[in-house]
Amino acid sequence: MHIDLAQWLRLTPSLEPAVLKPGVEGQLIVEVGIPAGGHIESDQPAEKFLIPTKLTLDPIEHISFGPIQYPKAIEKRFSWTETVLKVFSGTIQIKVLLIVSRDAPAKTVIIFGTLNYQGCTASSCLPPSSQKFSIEAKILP
Amino acid sequence: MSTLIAKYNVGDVVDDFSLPMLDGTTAKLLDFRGKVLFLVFTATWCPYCRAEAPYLEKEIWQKYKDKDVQVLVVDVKESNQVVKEFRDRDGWTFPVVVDEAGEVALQFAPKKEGLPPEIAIINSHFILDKTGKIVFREFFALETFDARLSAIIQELDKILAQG
Repeated sequence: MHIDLAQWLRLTPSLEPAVLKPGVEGQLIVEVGIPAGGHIESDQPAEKFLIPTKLTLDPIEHISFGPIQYPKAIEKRFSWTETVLKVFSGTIQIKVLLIVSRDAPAKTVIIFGTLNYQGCTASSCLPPSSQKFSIEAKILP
Repeated sequence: MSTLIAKYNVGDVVDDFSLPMLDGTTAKLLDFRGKVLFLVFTATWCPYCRAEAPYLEKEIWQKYKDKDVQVLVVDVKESNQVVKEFRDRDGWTFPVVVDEAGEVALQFAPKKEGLPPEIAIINSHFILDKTGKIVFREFFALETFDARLSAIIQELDKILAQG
């Protein structure tokens, strides 16, 4: 089986509410499916050499982005060492507050984002990688 | 993606290779002939390489360096600067070489999950006897990962007992 690092994770973005309104806050939710048996480093790894999971969004007119909320990491402990890894596994959600400006016109925009991560499968650790995603957002008064 | 598979298996004598050390000098495999060589392929971004890093110094190098055992770490496809920081964190005092092109790693790499060899090799261990023959190898698997390097210690003790 070939591992395509550009598509190793399953990224599913969605918006809440599905239609955004000028002057009203919304939320971008990026669901991240991590292949079974694998994990990725959390947004706050246990030490500096490890690569954090980091979501970034391209700037877009009339929408500003609030703080990014990552889920709580799982602590992977090895009883025979002092090592603790702080990782994400399974399916997680990363949430971003969206603030639509009051003067935003009715239109459809595309939000582009990137998820940077470093993951491991059951038999290999993968090099630091990034995956892109996008979602169409409708702004209606 | 490369379709090459490992050139070396257990029982093979490894040909000489040379790679730059972190201090700018060059290390040749032949420099270590006559010693039992513990060869480790690593990368700074690999969390399990990080986990075993202190044990390489404490449990292997410090305990075996006076018993004709040499540790040699090969960092794969990274810059000198980042590898130096990695080395200094755990106070490694054994030689570290950088295989920036991944050419040496490629010769040892397993065919694994369709990954490029320079990735599949990360966190792999080899023991070469005093003649340069591979007598033990261990590829990373999450299920059996042991940061304390117990299998390596067992194997080194066995080889040293045989003389």
